[in-house]
Amino acid sequence: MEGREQEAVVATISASTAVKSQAEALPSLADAVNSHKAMVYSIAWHFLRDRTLAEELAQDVFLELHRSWHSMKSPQHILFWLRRVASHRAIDSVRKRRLRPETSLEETGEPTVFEQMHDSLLSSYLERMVASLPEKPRLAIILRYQEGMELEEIAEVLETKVSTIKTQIFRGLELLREKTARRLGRNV
Amino acid sequence: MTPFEEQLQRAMARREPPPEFTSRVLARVAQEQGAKPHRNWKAWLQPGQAWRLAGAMTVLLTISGSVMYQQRERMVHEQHEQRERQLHEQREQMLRGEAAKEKLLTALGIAGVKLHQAHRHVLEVEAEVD
Repeated sequence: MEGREQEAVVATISASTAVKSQAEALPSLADAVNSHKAMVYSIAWHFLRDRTLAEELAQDVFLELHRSWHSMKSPQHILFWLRRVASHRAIDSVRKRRLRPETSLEETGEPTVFEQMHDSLLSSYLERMVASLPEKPRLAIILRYQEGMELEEIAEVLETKVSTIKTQIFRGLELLREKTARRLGRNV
Repeated sequence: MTPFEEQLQRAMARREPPPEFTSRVLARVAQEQGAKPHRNWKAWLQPGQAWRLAGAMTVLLTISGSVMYQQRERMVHEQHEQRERQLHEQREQMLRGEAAKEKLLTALGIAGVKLHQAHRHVLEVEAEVD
């Protein structure tokens, strides 16, 4: 498709979604993408730790949002829907591609003394460790600490029991704490 | 929240996707719309589409009902014909039996008369000999 034609179609999409948006106080698709792209991309990035795959997954999620736009009821519904679909697609992506985390907890490198003092490097170390957690605790930790979601909300997004989420987060945190304490040589 | 969790929260902060992300998404949406109009099956469940769904269901039910009715009629007709054939065969057998009985009685009657004549003839011959 030519560039101008594509722009015209994009304008039509924005206009058509905006018409419905006015009636039901929804944003346009473009606005929804702009508002939530960091959230969707970050869930994918923290889960997959691969920029290309994360962007591809995030694009797929927004494409799916466009297909399901007629069923969106409110901005809150869009947010909930995006979190749910991004989470499920992240798990699907790993299972489909049989991706294994690049580094396991045991293989994750020891932080140096410098890293112990440097917050950004410690953050990067924690990110790598989160990405090496088993799928379900990993996703629960991402939704809890990236999105700041309550246990009930996470359970609703992942369609499981609150007690299961609680266990997964507890298990994930324990693994992370244990590993970090061992590496840093002190309790965390 | 513990200091470790706070550290984890900082580590898990959101990241921005590449700068062209939004335009790439909208381009894919446009490409999909340009390729062919997407029809989601869920669109049929929307309130505005209820009459179309009802129409489609009515047609479907009418066709399936008509097919089922025809099948049932055919089956009933076949069963009726089979019963008729069985009755006809039974009647034929009874008629054949009656005819056979008649013939047998006639034959027995003739045989009785002949026997009687033979017996009388024997008695006459014996009387002449004596």
